[in-house]
Amino acid sequence: MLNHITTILILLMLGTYTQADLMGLTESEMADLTGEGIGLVYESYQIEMLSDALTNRADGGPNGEASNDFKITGITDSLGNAVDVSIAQFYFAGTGTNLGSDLTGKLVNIGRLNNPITINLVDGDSLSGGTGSWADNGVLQIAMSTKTDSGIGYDCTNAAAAEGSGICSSRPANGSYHGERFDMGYRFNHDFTDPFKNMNLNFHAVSANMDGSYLRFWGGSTDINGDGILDSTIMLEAQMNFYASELVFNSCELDGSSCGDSVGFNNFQMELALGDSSNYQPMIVDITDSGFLNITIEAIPAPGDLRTGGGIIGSDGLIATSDVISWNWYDNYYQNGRKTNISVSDMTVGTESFGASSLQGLQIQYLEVISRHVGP
Amino acid sequence: MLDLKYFVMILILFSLCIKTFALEPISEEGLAQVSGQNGVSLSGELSFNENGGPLALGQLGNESNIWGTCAQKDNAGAERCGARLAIKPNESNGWLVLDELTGSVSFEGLTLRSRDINAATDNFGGDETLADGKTVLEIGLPNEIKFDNFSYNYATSSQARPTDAGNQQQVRYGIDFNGSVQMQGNLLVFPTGNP
Repeated sequence: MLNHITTILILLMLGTYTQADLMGLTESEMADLTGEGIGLVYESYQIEMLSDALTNRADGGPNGEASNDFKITGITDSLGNAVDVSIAQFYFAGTGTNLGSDLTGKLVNIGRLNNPITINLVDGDSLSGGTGSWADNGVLQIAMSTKTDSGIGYDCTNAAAAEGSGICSSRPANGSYHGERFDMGYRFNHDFTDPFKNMNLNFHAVSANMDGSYLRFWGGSTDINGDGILDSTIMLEAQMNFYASELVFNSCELDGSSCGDSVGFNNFQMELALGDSSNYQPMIVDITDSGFLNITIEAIPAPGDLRTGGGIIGSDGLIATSDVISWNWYDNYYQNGRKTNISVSDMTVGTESFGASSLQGLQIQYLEVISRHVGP
Repeated sequence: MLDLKYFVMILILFSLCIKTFALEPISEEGLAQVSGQNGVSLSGELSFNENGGPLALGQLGNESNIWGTCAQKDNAGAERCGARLAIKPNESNGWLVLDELTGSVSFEGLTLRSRDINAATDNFGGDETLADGKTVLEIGLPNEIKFDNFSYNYATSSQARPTDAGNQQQVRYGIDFNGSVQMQGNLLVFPTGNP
């Protein structure tokens, strides 16, 4: 009995003398807290992989380090033989690398201190006024630097853009600072069982940035397997922007020698909009019972759906014969819904110019991508 | 009558407890005397489930050769080895999988420290002026990352575990890295926004 009394006394004493440690925050102290999300900035950054396959580079760059071998596996040819695909070079660095041949001192900042890469939890109701697939949900957002006002922004693709020339936040290097535009590239080597098929494919992006890109995740419900019952699922919306002063594709021997003519895309702009959750079109990732990948962008709600106002659209498509609220909902969808744009100011093959090309205002009303097994 | 040894014990504990006051702030003068270095340097090596784990062939009488140690796989005694990470994106169907994660990654010289942005010495093209005095977490990236037989498969699978009944898996692609990757720079981490 005494043992128990002693233990209780000891515990009581401990409790008495340590209760002062945790204190509530005052209103003024709370007001000093400003954190909401996380900002990231890569400072003076560069990364490079060089495989030992590069022994005779035509571009004058350094050869690979002995015993470096970066394989990509799981790829077979039409006969089922394994194709040995490897990364001969990967680089991500500041501008001026001459297609990855000279990385010395070519450093880059990714994100700006006043406009960094961010990881935030966003209120879904604030993203589209309390409607859309993310209504009443928290949304995890990973975003690159956002676009900015044209008065202080930079042209997105011009490698020598000056302040006030565009809406991108990332700046070209100007000699006194690194800037936020990067050079990046891959050299892939493909070794087939039949060596006559061996090939190399190189891709380079010059003075590039990804301003305005983001990835958003949240939890929602939709019927995924077609059984008429809602399934809880992760939903996504992505904006993938890629701007580059120049994209270059070419091919050489596996050791980096004897390169052919290049295919170039000048002033490349890609603004890829995947999913439109404000208009109830989230992207869903699913794996079937057989293990195949199924990516869906949900269909635009049909007329009569309560989310569009529940009214009808006349057969002539005019407002006069339609429910006004529903007609305005669809009008807003086509005017302001998320759209994909891709453009180049000039496509070149060797010394030949093919001129400008663009794809503007592509809107996805429904998309379903299902993987299939195509092996022999 | 209270036993003497308990009485002494209570007195000792009582005296110990009296000294557990709340933490006190250090004065300006006291802080000025502190000269410890700011930051740490880390080096490390990560390797993944070389020994197969509890589902491996021979563990707890397991007779299945679907999963084993990497030595068993090399000897064709097991179909697979290494770590597996499976994520189910919704409640109806299958799994996104990082499978057969094996080998090791090592690095040297990863540093962590707090850093005050200084408009007089830092150069972010003018952005350092508005951020003058802002404290950030600086992660100094290692100059070299070494991969030693580092490999994994990215796959989609109908079941969480390959040992589960009816498992069907489609491998999308995999990697198998040997060698070193050169890197330089810092990653700055700081809070953003107003709640």
